[in-house]
Amino acid sequence: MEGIWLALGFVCSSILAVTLIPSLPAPFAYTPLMLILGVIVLHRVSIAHGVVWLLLSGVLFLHGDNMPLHTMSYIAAAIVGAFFAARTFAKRSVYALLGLGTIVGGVFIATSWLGNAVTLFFGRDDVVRLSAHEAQSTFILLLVGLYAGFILSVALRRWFERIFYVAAGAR
Amino acid sequence: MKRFFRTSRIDKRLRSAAIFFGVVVLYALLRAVPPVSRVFAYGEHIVLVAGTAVGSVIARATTSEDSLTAQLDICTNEVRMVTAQDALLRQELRNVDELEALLGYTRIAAHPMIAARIIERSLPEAGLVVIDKGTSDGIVVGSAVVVGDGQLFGVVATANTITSTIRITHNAQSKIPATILGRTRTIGLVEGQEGSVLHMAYIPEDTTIDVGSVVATSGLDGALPPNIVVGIVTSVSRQDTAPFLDALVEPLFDAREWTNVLVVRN
Repeated sequence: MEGIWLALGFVCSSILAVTLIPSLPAPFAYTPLMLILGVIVLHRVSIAHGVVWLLLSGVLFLHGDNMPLHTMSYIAAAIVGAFFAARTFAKRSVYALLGLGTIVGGVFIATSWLGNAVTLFFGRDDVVRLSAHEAQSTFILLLVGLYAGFILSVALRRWFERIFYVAAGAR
Repeated sequence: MKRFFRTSRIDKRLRSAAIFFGVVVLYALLRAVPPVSRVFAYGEHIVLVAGTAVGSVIARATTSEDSLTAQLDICTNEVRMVTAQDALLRQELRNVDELEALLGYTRIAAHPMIAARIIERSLPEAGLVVIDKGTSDGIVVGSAVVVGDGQLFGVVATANTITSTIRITHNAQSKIPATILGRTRTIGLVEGQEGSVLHMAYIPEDTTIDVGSVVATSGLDGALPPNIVVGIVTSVSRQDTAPFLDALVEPLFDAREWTNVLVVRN
């Protein structure tokens, strides 16, 4: 059931990521929604689900015209995120989540810039490059989003626990 | 051992992740089926309209209209709009006069248009949007896409059966042969660049081009119809090393504010 709920969440958030978020004025338009949720899933649900989330984000939905670059960035983020989620940031604290987000965001931006450098080297003009101010906004919004997501996920978990506790008690 | 793997927590997680992957891939495959795609496209358009409304509210809240700069921007935009309308009306009047004089009747050349909804947007710099109409609706790659009262929004970059991608004029790949409204000779190439302002290049040195002139498609490349307004010239500069002038052209629309477009069938 968890997989199906996550899939529904993925579909809904991917729709929001290509419709609602880019319609907002800058810097809110740079909110990396799929990356934020991917890191939260990686940290709070499971590494396998988080890796699938990030890989699907890179392959299926976002930035069709920029697919090779974005796919590469998401794959790198998924690999590094899985490693650090298992080893360094295994604790479920907000600090661990923010630490994981910093690493994943850093790798994502670094890989994007590496892709930019490769396209520049080969003289490709048909790709959209991640500018410095866009990267800066993306990184800050990633950390803000992770913090807000952590608070929301804790509140939701408590709410669900309370509901299930009452239901179990009533039975 | 087998039993351990069947019931272990790791195995359950992997199975759940596989279900997650499968459901999302199934959704992606279903999206390629036209009737299902139409339903999703309609839903996405509604979310996009809501996002546009939210974006406008945030933009209004963060920009104080009381400030002198904001008032100046509003007035400048109004002047640009009036200038563009004036130029269009003059052009229309001249057409009417010429046709009345030569043929004795008025004929307005009109291109059939296809109305489409925007269902996806890229990041602002990318300058790409996806519409809910594709080749099955008669969309052809290279067609002009207009908004409002005939301002060039972009060009169809790619089209599949059910959706098409529009390259907005400020996209870095966008190159549109253009002229000053009312002239037939192509005088330059309007290119997208970083930000919303466009760059008009390869303008011959002997061309008369002033700040405030209305730039429109020349129609001489065959793909785009003539006289679709691209924007207004905001500055003109001379190149030191080549016999050309450069101009900055400001579009008359904010791409983020539009949720419906018209595709011109040329």
